[in-house]
Amino acid sequence: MNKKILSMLLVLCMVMASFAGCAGDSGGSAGSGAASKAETSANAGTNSSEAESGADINFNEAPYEINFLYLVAQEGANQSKVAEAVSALAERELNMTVNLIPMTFGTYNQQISMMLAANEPLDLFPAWSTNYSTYIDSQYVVDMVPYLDYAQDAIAVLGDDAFVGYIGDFLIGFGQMKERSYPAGLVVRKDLFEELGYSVDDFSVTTDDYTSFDQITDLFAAVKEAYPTMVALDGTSIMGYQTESYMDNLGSVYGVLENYGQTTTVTNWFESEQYRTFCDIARDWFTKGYSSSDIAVNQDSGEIKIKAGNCFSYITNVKPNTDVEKLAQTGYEVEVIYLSDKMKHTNAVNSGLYVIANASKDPQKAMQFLNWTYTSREFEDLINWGIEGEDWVETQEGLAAYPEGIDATNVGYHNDFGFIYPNQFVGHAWEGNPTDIWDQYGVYNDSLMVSKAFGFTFNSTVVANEEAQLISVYEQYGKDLAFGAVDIETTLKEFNDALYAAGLQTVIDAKQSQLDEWLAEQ
Amino acid sequence: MILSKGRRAYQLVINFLLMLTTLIMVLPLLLLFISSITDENTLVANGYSYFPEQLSLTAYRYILTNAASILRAYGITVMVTAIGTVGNLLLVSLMAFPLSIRELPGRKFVSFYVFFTMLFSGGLVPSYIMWTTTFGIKNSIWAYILPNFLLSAFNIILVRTFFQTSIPNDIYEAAKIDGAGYFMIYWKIVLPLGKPILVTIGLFSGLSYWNDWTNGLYYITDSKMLSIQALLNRMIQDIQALAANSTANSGALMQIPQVSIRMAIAFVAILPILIIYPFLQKYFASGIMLGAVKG
Amino acid sequence: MKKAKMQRFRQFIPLYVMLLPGVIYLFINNYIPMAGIVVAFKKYNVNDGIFASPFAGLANFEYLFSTNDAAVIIRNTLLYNVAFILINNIIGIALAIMISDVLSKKLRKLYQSAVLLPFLISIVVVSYIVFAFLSHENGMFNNSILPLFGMDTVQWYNDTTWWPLILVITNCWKGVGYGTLIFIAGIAGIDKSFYEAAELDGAGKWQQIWRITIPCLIPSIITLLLMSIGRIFYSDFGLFYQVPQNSGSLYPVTNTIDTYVYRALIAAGGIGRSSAAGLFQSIVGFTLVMVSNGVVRKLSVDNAIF
Repeated sequence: MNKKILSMLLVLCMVMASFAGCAGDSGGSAGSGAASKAETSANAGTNSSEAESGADINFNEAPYEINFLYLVAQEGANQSKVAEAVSALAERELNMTVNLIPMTFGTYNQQISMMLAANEPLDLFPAWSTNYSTYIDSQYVVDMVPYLDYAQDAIAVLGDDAFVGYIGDFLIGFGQMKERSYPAGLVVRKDLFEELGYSVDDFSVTTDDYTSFDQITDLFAAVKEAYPTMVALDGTSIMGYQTESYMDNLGSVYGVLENYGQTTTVTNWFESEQYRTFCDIARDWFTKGYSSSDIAVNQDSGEIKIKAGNCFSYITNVKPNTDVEKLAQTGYEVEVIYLSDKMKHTNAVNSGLYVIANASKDPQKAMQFLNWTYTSREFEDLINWGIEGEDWVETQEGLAAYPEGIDATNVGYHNDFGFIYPNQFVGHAWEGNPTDIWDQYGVYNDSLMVSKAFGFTFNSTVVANEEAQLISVYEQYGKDLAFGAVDIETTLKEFNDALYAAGLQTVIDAKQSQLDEWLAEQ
Repeated sequence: MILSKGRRAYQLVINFLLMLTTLIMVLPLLLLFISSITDENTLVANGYSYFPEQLSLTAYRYILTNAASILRAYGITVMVTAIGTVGNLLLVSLMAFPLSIRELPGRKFVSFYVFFTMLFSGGLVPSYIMWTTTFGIKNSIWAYILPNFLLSAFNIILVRTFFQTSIPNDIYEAAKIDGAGYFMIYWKIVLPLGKPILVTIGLFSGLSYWNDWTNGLYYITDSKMLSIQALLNRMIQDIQALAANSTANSGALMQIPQVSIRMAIAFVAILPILIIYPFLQKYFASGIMLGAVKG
Repeated sequence: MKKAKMQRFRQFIPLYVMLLPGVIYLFINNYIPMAGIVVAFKKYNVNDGIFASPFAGLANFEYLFSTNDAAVIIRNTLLYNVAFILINNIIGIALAIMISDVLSKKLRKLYQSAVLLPFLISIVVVSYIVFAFLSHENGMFNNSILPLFGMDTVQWYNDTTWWPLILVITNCWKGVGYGTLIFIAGIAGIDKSFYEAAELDGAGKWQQIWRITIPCLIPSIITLLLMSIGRIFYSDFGLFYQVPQNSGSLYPVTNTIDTYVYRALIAAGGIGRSSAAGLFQSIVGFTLVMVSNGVVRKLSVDNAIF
């Protein structure tokens, strides 16, 4: 109860302050878009009284214990040492002790839902976009809006992307610093590629001209002829399945903004010419034997297939250092041919956010802690790489690497999960990457085409029943069509009919109306 | 033992059919084992085969790097299975016996009470909340033993049926005339005569405990308290997550054979049972033969 | 007379005492959490908890019925379970009879172990094994077995024709051992003197099986049957989701209530919905069992479950 009153007071203060202090800001705090919200809160931060300044830490009270849940690659032997070090660090700087709760991807989904349902002690944890609506509905998470004062550093670091966590007026969380786009790309084996006489510059595949995809078809034909035992294309994705690359999917594939989000009309991608073309191309590859005949049911990733040695290429999301990554994962050098433009849409940025749990006894302190993690180099290095000197050392170029005698099999603590921690850019990059990799990411992120709906998140609870049925339809037809494993003409019609029968139009209308409302407020 | 021609033919036929059945049951298991020692790349490129091109023990070597945690997990699982199975047998037989006595007032009601639990369940969340908040079993060995497996309605009803059909009433009458109370009857008559079904139920219960990975998944977050299934489950999921999500320099990834490791882990999970089972058979066979002897 | 009744009751006290631990355990483990079923009728939020959350009527059940697939998933669940019950019991009884008749102790041990082995393997691993046989690129069927008969390769995972058979076989392979062992125990409990008497009367093997073994097994069969009926709206998730590799083309024959619910909950989750699905399955099973049990009661009171 007290907490609720406090948060209401804070909101009130902010509103007061924004009216009092900001001359030019007419957005106020009533349902504004991400950008103007950023302005409001930033102003509120500078105008509010000293007592609410995020920088003020009271070292005289007892330390608050933060329950910080985070994802690890595996439980390392040095886990407890790292936990102690983090706690000591936080105590020095924030007067908070930290109870690190490590969890692995494999068990995360089940365990988090139990912890939330049982209201177990928890302050901060990472959440996925598929769950936001449910979490808000079930009141598992706390609205961050009242505590934005304490998030100034995080907001500064995240910049334009700071407020993708807004669903309606509820700010659910802050995201991670990482690549902001998931363009589709064809990863090919460099040795065979060059043997055939190709180079990446020969290719320019674009959705402006679908005949450019013939370049890929010809490539596969050449591969099949020269290396009959190789599978030209395998893996778990293909153009028709890359639902983050070609459009702004507004959170789900039912009703999207096509053409890289450069429109504001919500349409059914599966009826578009683009989708039809992608399916036809895939069908062509499938019938000609370029793609593996199991590709539609295959569960093994492209990396595993390449590593096995009999696969030439696969399609996946690509980013600046994909080639370095894949070399480490497969043992083969690769080249990347982009199959789409690079765009930025809300879901690419808010797919995973750090949120404050309902069970937190002091959300304000939780916010302060989270804010701190965006700027603390020591914290980031500790949770990602472990204890300096034991699990990693700094190299001459300022990267991190294993110490003498330590490698992947005997290291005490090592995650390399920067993409799921608040701010990997503030910590060390690992050896093998270019030394300016974080700058490269920055440049990359700034160069992206931005969707017209960037900042908008669809609240799906109004169409929950429809989405429950739509997913069944999508899973029934989606893969077979995208990979070309069935006859496109007849199956595509069946697919779309089934989608509409399951309520697709309702979802499209709901998305359109929420989007229009949001656009009007920008 | 001299068999008539007809009997001999019968023996031949059933043995032939049963051998065939045994082959059908065992062959896929063999494939499992062979895949676990197949070289990873061969496995991915050529698929699973009984005659792989290249063998490799990498999967097992990787698993052995975790030998310490695996041994500890085995230990925990063995203890849990032992305690749980004994508990289950005790509780099941203690419930099944009274329910098999036709004259017991309220028998129908209690049978319904037991059976109802098989049909309706509150679901995972209420169970979890109750066990962790009221009983505080999270991260303790009781988290493996208490929820769900200590007593199952299925077993109770099965055993009750067996008691009802295979133990004739005259035995009870005779015992009562001799002055025995129900406890004596239970101990001296019912348990020995019920050996066949109790051994079977004990086996099933033991297997349930051994194979359970759900209790470990929800109730255990301390990695030192993992049972073998929870540990292996975690290993598989983590490997797959590593494959799907890691960024540059998971040189570690290169060394883990992702596909063959699934088979190797599956094999490690059942290995102890494969080893122990022949020894358990001793009790089985005698149990089944003894069942025929009247007390 | 009252004294006699009291005395009669007194003699049963040891039995009630024996029942007590089990009753308490079931109360704690099953009945207390059962109260949580109400969440199926609520719009749940964690601050109000399960009991204080606002009432939502049947809203959480809508997603189960408003789907066009409702008929398909119910049909699949029911038909497969009926097939499983029939096949597994018939084969289980046959195996049990055969194994019990084998003279050699060693061979008996071997057979008993063999039938239970597949039970130990998790269904996920079974799905890999099935894939090893049915994969188009590398599978044993397409590459070794079909060519032997001069037949064309089949895109198994895109063709619904064979899957009902494949799933029934897989389920039988994996689960028949369970029932077999129960029946073996049942057969062991049959008084051997019956068989001796039959032999003396000149009865052949078949007659003995038909007249002695099966009738003595009927109680176990009926018990297992009734319990299966209670679960008739449930399906083995792994069998219908993982073994077919979640292939969309196969949905018409592999989509069951549990797989539908699983997918639906990914799209629109929450405790209310998942509880609603479970409750629906339970109620149907419960109704069917009550009816069947009533029928069995009329025929032979002993064999009814309650």
